[in-house]
Amino acid sequence: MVSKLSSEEVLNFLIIVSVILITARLLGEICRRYKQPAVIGEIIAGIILGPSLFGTIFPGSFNAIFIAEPRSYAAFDGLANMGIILLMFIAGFEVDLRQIRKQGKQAASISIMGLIFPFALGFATVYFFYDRIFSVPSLNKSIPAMFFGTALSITALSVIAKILLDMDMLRSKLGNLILTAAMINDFLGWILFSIIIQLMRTGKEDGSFSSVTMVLIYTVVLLTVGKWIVDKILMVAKRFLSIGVMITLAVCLCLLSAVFTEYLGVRSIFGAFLMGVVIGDSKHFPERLQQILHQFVVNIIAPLFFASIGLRVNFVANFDMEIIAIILLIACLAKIIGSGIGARLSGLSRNESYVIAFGMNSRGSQEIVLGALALQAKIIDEPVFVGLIIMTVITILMAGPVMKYYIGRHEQSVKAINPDSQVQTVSI
Amino acid sequence: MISKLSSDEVLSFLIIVSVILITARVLGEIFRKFKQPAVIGEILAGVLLGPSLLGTLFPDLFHSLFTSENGVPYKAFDGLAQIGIILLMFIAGFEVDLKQIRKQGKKAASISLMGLLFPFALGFIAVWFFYENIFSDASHANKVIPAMFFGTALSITALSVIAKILLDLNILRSKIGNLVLTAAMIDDFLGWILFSIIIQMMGKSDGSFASVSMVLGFTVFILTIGRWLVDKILLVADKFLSIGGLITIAVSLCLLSAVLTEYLGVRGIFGAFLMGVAIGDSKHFPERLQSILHQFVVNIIAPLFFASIGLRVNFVTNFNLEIVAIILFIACFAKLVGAGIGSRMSGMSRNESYAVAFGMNARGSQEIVLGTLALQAKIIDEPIFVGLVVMTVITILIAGPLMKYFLAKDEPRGKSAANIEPHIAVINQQGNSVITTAS
Repeated sequence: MVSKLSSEEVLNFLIIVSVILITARLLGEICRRYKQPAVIGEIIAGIILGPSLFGTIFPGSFNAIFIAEPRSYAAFDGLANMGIILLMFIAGFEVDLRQIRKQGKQAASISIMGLIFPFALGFATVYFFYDRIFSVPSLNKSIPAMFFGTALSITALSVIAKILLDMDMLRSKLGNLILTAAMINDFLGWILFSIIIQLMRTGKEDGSFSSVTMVLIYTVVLLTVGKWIVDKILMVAKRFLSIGVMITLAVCLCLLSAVFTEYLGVRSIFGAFLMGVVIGDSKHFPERLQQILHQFVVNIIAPLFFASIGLRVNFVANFDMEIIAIILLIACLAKIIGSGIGARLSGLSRNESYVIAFGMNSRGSQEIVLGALALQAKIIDEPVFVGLIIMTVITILMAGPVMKYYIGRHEQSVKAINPDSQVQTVSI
Repeated sequence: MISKLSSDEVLSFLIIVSVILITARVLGEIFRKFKQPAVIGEILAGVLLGPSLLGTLFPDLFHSLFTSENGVPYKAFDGLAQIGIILLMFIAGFEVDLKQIRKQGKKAASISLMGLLFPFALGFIAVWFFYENIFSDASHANKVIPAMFFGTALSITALSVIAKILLDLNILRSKIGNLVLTAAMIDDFLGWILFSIIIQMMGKSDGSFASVSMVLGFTVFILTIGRWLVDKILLVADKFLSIGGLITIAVSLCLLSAVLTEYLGVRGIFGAFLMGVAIGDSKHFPERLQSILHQFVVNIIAPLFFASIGLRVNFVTNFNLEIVAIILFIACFAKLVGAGIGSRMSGMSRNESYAVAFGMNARGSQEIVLGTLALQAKIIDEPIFVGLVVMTVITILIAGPLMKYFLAKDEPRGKSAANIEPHIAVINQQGNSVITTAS
């Protein structure tokens, strides 16, 4: 007999979902009102409902809702996991391989400098100041150091796109460069992270080579042969099947890729992300379908995941000013200098480079996903995780205003020179 | 610390979801290709993957898939399936058109009431007198509840299935189509209220009056004050929020209503259904939003629920031909006679009445939801549940062809059939033209 939830567990499960969904979306909408990404509000919802606040003030009702029926919360966690897988799938749609190919060279210096510099700085910091940041001493410093480097080097594609959209420069030259650089960054960042997870799994130094090659092989195969196959499948499907079937097909492909990567030992979201890139690249993938998936995932399932982050960790007890300051400082310093130098190298003016640097500096939901996975895999501990989240929120908050400031200065200084800002109007 | 899923459990959970989703949707699409409701294929997927087939043929594979990790991943899957059925009932509520019921209610009432009372009475009597033949476990002290459940289960009509059949026959907007739909809506609505009352009565033996009034009170509340409130909320939301905000509001309202009814002791799906009726009735509820919800629920989440049915019950060992035959016979007989007499009473020709009766006879997903809940609440046991599912599938399969047959027989005299009353909605004239061009 297959076990199922009892009636009380179902009730409890429904209460958990309702409470979290409503709180998360409410705060998310409030943040959106103030031109901030909804994800900030959703995380705050989790912090409010979680052990940090609600659990401390009303431990009785907190226990009754979230802990009394552990299997109900496990069911909720399953739902939240689906949420993050589908969110990464959708995030993959945003990566435009054609644009990367076209603008790749120009964006490459921004992107690579914005990746290598933070990575090196993050790695070096953890390697040398390990005891400052981590409370538990570890024999192997290289994995936390690598994770830290990766976490600092990822840029939030969706957040940047939103900021650029709000500033009405999504399709300008600068906007395009930032987006392309962020895409490359994201992409390489996830590959890096998958490799780290693999290294951790194997644990031994000898298995590292095969695990790295496995991740790379899967990536390459999916982006070449897989892309071709998916394109053909979608072409056939579009001709013969209804929109409903196409949705199922897309979600099934995402799940299959997720299961496969999880099976390989890489996290499932990486597979979902790659499949999203591949499917989003196909021209046989209808816009309307993307809309349906997007609306449902962004508004219903993904908020559950972000709120569940706050539920897991006590943000008050794990708040360590020193760690947060170190993380924030390194993150901003490394990314701004790295991307700034990269932008200068690709021939942009000083003010333009500042704009790009602060744009690239904003982290987002993917940073948090990365942190949550690292926490789960015990690469980092709670205080570091809290530091990462606060760093993410602060970099997002400052990106918009600072970019606006430097654009204003840029426009003043370039008044005399004729700007060729409409050369690269590539559709996104 | 809050418990969460480990990495292995997540993997197992993902595998369960993938395997079930893919199998259910593939079979569902195959059935749709043959003009049958996808739900049959989805149930079949569960039977194939469940203890009936996979569990018997490859027990090791079955166990490593579904019962590994102490069953925690399957529990997580079950949560997903529960959300699926709640959202499905929510969407089913959209289809109930209160305006149309108010308009056509009187005409449809005789079909609906006869199609409800007759099966209910017959189902009740059958269980009451032949209790031992149907129930293997004869220790039930109280026959009333199983008898009432049986009556209710037989009297529910499948709104969505009928709508689909009418659409395929191209008579959805004709006079008959409208009547059948309205009658089915009323049936559905009353059927769910009845079932909620039964669930309430089960909880306590003495409190039957209080429980009945609670269900009715909640229903009346949602349909009057609740409906007004929902309309106002949607009016404000439509003005200020994006489509995404509206989706969340709709789903949140559904969940709240589900939690409230579940808390009151009625099942959560009843609350979701009522909220669906209230929201679908509001004119501030945009079509596009309904389409997004519909596509996602019907194609991704709901199939998980229907497949999970087959996973729970072994359809082979619990197959009892006698019980299946009794249930099938009573179900068809009662509904056909009841709905047939009702449509004759509302002035239809003999052949039209047959067509309506067979249309009303089709059961659907809601029948199965009802059966699942009754099984969970231990009102019925597995063989009866299997009987209900088999009965549902057969009534769906026969409905389309027989309706087509009787409508064709009626067509020589179809002039009177297509004679539309002036006060029926304008859309009916399209249906009228369809019928006249056909004849």
